Amino acid sequence: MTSIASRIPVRSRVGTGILIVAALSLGRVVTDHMPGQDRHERPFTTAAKVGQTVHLRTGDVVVTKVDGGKAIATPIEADASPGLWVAIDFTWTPRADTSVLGYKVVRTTTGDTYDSLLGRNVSFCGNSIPGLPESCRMAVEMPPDRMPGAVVDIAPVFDSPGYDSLATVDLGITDETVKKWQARTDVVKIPMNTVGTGS
Amino acid sequence: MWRWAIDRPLRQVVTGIGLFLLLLTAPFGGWAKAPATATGPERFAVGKPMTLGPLELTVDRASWNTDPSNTFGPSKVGAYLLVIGHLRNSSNAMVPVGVMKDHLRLTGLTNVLASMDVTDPKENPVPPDKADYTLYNAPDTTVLSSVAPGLTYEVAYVFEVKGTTLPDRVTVDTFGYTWRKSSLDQTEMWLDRTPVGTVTVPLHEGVKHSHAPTSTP
Amino acid sequence: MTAWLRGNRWGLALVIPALLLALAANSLRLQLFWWTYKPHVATSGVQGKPVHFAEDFDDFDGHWHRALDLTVTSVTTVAAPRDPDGKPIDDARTPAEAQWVKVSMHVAASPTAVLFGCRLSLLDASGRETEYTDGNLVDSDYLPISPCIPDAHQGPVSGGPKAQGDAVEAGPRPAAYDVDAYVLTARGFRPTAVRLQWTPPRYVQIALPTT
Repeated sequence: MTSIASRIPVRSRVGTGILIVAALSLGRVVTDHMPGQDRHERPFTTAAKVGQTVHLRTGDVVVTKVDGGKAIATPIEADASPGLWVAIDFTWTPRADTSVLGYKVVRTTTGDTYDSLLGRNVSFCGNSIPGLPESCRMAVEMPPDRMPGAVVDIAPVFDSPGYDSLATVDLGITDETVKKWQARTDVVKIPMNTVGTGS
Repeated sequence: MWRWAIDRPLRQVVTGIGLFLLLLTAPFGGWAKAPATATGPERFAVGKPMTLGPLELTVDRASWNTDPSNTFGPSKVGAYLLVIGHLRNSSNAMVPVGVMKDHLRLTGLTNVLASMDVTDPKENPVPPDKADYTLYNAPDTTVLSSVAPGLTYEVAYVFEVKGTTLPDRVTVDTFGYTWRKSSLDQTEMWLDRTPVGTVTVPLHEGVKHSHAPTSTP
Repeated sequence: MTAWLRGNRWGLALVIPALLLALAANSLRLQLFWWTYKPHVATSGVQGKPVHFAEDFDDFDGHWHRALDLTVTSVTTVAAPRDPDGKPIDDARTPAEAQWVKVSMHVAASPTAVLFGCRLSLLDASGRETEYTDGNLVDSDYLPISPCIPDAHQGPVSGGPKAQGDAVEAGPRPAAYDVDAYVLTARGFRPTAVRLQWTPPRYVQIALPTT
């Protein structure tokens, strides 16, 4: 084994080694300074209040009503919460394509998230048709003390709203609202979604 | 020296590197068997909370009955066994119970069914650690498929058993999980199921449900 | 320098194909994440004339072929939808902002072809796409899941032997049939094309006469 390495001068070999290490280090430095996944996947957020229409990329959404109480009744089942339910009504009008308002997550000031698609939470929203408003409903259960200041994130997608537009609507819940909801003895009724704003 | 090493046959070079690496492990114990870092499941008293990853479970009591609920009918093969406790999610996102389906397992019983309503005699009974529960929110007997952050639910883990011969106490094992990236597909999920605790609760014959007409709460 | 270039000429020449190969290897991502999930390959036709459409597809049972001749015979706005038996759906409370569009089709296809699970949509001049859905009217289970097959004889749901056997047992689908689909759209939506698809990226698009 008369090696090739022995034919190449030591200086050249050392130089090559340094170059390789330098290239690898440079690559490391560049990847370390690239924006992370949460940064380049972040949605384009529009903040709004109850009653304000948000123009998302693929349609318009407006939260029309926020209500709450200890127990809810849907046409499917009735649930009493160890915490409190917050029930949110909104209207979704797609602009160009038939779509479902799938991502509806309540987020607290402490960063806790309550996904309307999971657990006993309620999500009524159909295949919405371009130009035709659909009244959707959702309800999530959460601890009363985390309710004040909570917002709802809404996007017409099913998993992550990354890369696309997202509405963040302040639910306008205060300590007084929570007290009022806790004192309620009646059941919050949640009807199914309806097509159109009225027939 | 360098020249000499370069001129060795490949086999010798590889063996040499391997021996060198093995030598490097010497300060860390070499071939010695690594001591077990897990201390094994701890014995928990009834009513003491156990941390199972994002969930905190307190087992309070257990009961059995042939027909304990309005929601599901009387057992066709025996009875239902209910492990009753409190379940709290201490993380900041909803935890779907399905991803940690086996965080509670029965031990010692020989007449447990694979799950509620899987009554096929060919598949039953199963070893107790293979039996699946259905998780109910006890106050309104709705299925609890996800646990919301910060809420404490009064829950019942419902198993079905063949016959009505049951011991006067039952032992359950609990398991915890770690939130990490899967090395296979790089998605984050609850993985690494490890034993956390074991708790023995007295088992009583519970009350038969009243069959009162369901009223909306 | 020139000596160095000459000495390394083969290595340098190989750099270009290596770069091209690296790029080509990455293009798999386009195929995986984008191309196959969207309709890209059109078979076009016009209203009143049959169009032959064929595609290969995979399901849980295997790899199959689907072929049919589709004629869109008429597209009209109607007051209310009818169920597959032709009876008006009484409790279809059409909201003020909406209208119903009836799409009448004639289909010729082998009774063994899998036509279940088709997606039908209407497009207007501005590119808005309204999809047929069976679930837009609360309390209404009257509209079929697949708008392009006769509800009573839907034919097989897969190419596999079990599904084919089930279809024969249920009464095979006729080799040629007429079917109407009722699509809820926004009021004033003027369709300019009908689109029918099963497995992207292929689809059939039938242009409607401008009125």
